[in-house]
Amino acid sequence: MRRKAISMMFVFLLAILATAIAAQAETLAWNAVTTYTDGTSIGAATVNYQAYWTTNSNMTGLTALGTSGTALTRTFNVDTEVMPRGSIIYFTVKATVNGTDSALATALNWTVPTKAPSAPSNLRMQ
Amino acid sequence: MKRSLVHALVFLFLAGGILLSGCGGGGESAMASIPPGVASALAWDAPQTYEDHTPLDPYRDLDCYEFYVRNDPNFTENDLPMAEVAAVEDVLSPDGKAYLKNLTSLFNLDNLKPFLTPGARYYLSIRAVGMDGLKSGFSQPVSWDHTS
Repeated sequence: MRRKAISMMFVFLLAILATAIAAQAETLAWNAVTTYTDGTSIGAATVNYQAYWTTNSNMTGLTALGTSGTALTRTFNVDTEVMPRGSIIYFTVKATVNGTDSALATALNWTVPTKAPSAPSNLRMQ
Repeated sequence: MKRSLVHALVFLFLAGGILLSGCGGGGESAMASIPPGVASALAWDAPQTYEDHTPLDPYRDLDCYEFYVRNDPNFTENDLPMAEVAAVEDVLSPDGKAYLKNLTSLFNLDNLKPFLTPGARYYLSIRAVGMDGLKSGFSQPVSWDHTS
């Protein structure tokens, strides 16, 4: 059985899903992998993706973002993931087909948004 | 560095006996004005959320409050604070053996009087400052008739 390396031609899109309730969600998205590195089609084979993030520009110390799956997006919460607000972090994704892993996708850098407190309320004289 | 400045300011306030403690209840007071000469302190409720509505723990996430004074209620980002106090103060426990964290929610207006003109009407607003230095928007201003 021939195994081929997977060509990871990712195009990342990072979208902020604005929410007016509870925790703010962010979504990392990418394009599907469709070919092996030799250009042949993956066809109907199942492709699983695992997203990662790291604070290191050399892509070491990767932290998994969610679990592996076939979806082309990962929704996450900055605070739940303990991402450092105000700092640059790097995302990447790895594809797996029939047990063969791709190389890591070209990293996407992103500045973790900071957030200000709401204004004090009920200001009054006493 | 900034926290040191804040702590120094609070120390000065405490040393002068001009930072009141405790938290008052109270009703809505948007632009409320009370009779001249009666008001002695400014009170507020600490924010409980960030601007994106995620929960905020004022004991842990707030650094300080900034106090702004104008002759009109139109506060802008160009305004500079006239005073600043730490968002959390240490108060001695009843048995005197430990310090307890207490949310600052009261500011003695005597602190501002040396810098203001008696007889004038002023507008006060405050901003909360997070531990990362980001500031909230301005609170709803209140008017204050400064007597003497």
